[in-house]
Amino acid sequence: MAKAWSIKNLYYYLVCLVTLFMFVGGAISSVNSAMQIILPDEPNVPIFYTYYPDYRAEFERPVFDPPLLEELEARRAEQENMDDYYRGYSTRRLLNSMAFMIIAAPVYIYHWRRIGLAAEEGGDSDEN
Amino acid sequence: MQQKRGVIAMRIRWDLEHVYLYLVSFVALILIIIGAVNLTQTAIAYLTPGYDYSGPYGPGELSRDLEQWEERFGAEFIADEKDRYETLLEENQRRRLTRDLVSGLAFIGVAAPVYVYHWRKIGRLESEDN
Repeated sequence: MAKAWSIKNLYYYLVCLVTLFMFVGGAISSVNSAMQIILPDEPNVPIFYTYYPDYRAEFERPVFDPPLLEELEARRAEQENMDDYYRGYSTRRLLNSMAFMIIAAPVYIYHWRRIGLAAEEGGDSDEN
Repeated sequence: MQQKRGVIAMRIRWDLEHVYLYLVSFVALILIIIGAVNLTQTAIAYLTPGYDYSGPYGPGELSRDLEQWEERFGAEFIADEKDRYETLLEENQRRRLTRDLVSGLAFIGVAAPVYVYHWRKIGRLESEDN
């Protein structure tokens, strides 16, 4: 491997360092995103969060007049579907993490090979 | 003294390859430590389950119209709702713990081979140098 403190070798090693940890970060993040897809939280909306009493100036207390239970259940289902929609971002996060890995890997491999070639060309001397 | 300094200077290799290998090993070790801390925190969370203070049945929310709901829909309805909420909450907490566990293992599982490979390479280089 190239050992000399030349600007070229320093550049190769820096690129390898950064891309290696981009790959590592992407791999860890991919596992986390995959787990979000495999084992997501179940939506858990309490029925009380589907209706709030009306606050009106003419009444001393808020007016509690909720709709029928079927309507409340429909509202809850709607809110829980919204949670499902936000969960769709896990797929996007997984693809983003994989992009880090896919882009960093060839850059790392190329520059790591260049370090080997630089050594063969005589760049491994400490006296450069 | 002069000779001693010379010996030390020979042992400390400041060439690019050594610096790179030590840097990678350092960062990988930090990632392993983060993973280990995550695992420990997950174990602590598993052993000391928390209470849902901010939920609809927490102490802060108890007064909130619950009586009115009970009057309108009946005590059994409220009890069923509470059961549903708490069952889902417990299942979600279990899922979260599993995800945290896998996340901690991912840190260690990804960083450990990087660390071992680079640290061994340092060892090989240093034994070659000596």
